[in-house]
Amino acid sequence: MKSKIFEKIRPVLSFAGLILLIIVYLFAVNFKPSLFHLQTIIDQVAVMAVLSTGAVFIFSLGSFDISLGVSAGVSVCLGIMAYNAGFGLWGMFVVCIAIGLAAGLVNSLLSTVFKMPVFIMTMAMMTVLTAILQILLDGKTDLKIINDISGPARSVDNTWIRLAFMAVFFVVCIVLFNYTRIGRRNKILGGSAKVAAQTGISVAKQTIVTFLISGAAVGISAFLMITRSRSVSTTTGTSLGMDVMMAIVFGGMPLSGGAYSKISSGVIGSLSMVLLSQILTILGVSAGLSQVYKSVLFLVVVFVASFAYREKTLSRAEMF
Amino acid sequence: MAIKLKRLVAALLMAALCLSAAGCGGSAAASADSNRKYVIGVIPFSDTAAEQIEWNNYLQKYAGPQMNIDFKFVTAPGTDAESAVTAVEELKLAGAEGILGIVDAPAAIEKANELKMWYVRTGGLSTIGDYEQVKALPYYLGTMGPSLDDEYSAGYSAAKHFISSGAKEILVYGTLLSLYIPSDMHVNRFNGFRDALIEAGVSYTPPESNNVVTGPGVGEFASGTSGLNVSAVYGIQGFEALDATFNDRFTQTVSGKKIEAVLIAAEGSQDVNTLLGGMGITGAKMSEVGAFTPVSKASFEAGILDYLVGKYPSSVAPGIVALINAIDGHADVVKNADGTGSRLAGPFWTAESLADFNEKIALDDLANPAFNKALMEQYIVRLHPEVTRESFAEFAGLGYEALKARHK
Repeated sequence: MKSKIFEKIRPVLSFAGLILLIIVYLFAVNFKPSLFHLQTIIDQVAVMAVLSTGAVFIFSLGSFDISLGVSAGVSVCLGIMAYNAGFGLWGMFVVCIAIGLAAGLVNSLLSTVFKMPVFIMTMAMMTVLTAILQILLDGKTDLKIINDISGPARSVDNTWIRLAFMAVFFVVCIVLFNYTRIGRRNKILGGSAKVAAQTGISVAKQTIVTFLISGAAVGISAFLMITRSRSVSTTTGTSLGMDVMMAIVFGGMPLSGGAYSKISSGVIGSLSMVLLSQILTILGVSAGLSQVYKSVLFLVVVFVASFAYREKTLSRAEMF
Repeated sequence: MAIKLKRLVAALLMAALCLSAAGCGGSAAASADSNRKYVIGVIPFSDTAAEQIEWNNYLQKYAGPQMNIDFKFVTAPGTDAESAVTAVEELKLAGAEGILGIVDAPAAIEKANELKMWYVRTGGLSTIGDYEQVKALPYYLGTMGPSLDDEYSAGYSAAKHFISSGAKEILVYGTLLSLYIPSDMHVNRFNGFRDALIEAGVSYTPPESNNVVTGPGVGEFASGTSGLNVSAVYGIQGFEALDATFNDRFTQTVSGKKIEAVLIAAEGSQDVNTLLGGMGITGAKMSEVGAFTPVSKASFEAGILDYLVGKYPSSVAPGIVALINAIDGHADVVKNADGTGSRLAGPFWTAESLADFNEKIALDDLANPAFNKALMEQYIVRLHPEVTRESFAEFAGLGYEALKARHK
């Protein structure tokens, strides 16, 4: 009974939370939001929203790729190297996308060919990718765009360009997730791999397609990261994987993936996290206390999100 | 049930935020009748390092109330430029007019300039490349702290200290590996160690590769004519985390040796002591190029630390005064004559014993620190129009003896 009620209100919970945060944000800025406020929100949300939206495809399978952030870091690094080698802005973009797709492909093959659990496998990949990033940086702390002041890389450091990338990618993902077989199959696969197989869905093929979509998100995110900081360091992207996971959960994604997965989770969650962070900063909450607020809120959201899930899941005793 | 819970959560969040807001409003109201309130953002290099915590204490408990400044802190962005840019944006949202940055992040400084926020890099001088990239930005005031020569001298004097005291088995902790030691300041400290050891007759072969994965990244010391046995192990980023890989590397380097002295390129004497103790090695004396903190004091008291070259809590004060002057419209006394951001050196303090440590740190008591209100106000142009570019540089460069002489 409880779970039925929850299922009815679930679609609006995360959106209601976002509306609440927007109201609190407006209160924090004395109901006088400026263009700067809007630009800052867009600038801070773009990378996480694109990456989270791509990650929703994997999450809908009931898995999560924790290496997405570091994949983006490697992609940023090679993108900057390509730019510095004279490949230009679009060359850099293509390299970022290619690296993102390659990382997604490797992860999907490891998952499908070697039947590795995605989360554990991507944790290992995170270590591998971190080492690759260190090798690429060749002992240096960071790598920057050359001719930074006047070069074309500077010209794309623009809020509206970031918004355009985010909007286009989001629309494409809505179509793929809600109106094509890719999304439908993901939801079925996330509900039950056995059922999916019985309905003729190729788990391997679907997994590869899913990881390639998230790989494209990695590439676009990497490009957007370069437009903002024009540099890469040994720690670029290291915390992003965790942020993405939190954003998707904040955005109302069912913890188990499956039929109730929502493509909007990435954007709603990313926006919620950025707004929460900015609200706490504007109100002068200390950095340490901010972390506590965010963590407690995350735990509460996980608790609420897992409420119905727990009731529907067999206890371990029942399973055996 | 679920929706009730959600409402409860929302209400709690709102209540917490409102309480925070009320708290902020209260402090603003309390100062409304005093002079102009400055809002300065702080970008720390770490959320947990003892050195940063001492700086934070000085800023929040002394400089803030005494100088009428509301300091806004963000979470340390580490070396990630994207996070540093976000930190600048958040400080702007929080109303900061200037930023006291303890990180090297040109992209963040450029963002601050774009948002018309004054920026000063304190706690150590920026690497030359980073400085060159941003020095011409109108809102970049400059970089302040121990110079790279000071960093070199710190390493050199620490090594000399142990060589002259007769230590024969020496461990160098922290090397050229910039991957783990992420700035010129640490590299210069290592260079100081290296050159003092070479002067003592030790020979040194630099690493072929500086990469943790593909090469040794450490270089090798050989006894040469010195009679010294020197080992070297490179440290983990910021010396804050000791992981299994590092422990293995450390064990391999130190195994079978009776280490008598350890030269550390940052903080970390207690961590190293723990590692040595785990291998049955006790009694090693250590030096740090770090900071005067309760942690380093405890190391002196425990007989672990024997030599400290470091910064101290109020050493960030010249950066604060620079920002106040800039916000007041007097950035010219901070910047170079050609309008570029300055590089103003401020020396380390040195302690060679617990008594020496106690004597030095007594000058920087939080109730009346070395850079106290009276001293800082002497270099605020609004209060003292006679302040010049030269006198401000002199203020930023005050060492222990000069501060002691001026202390009231």
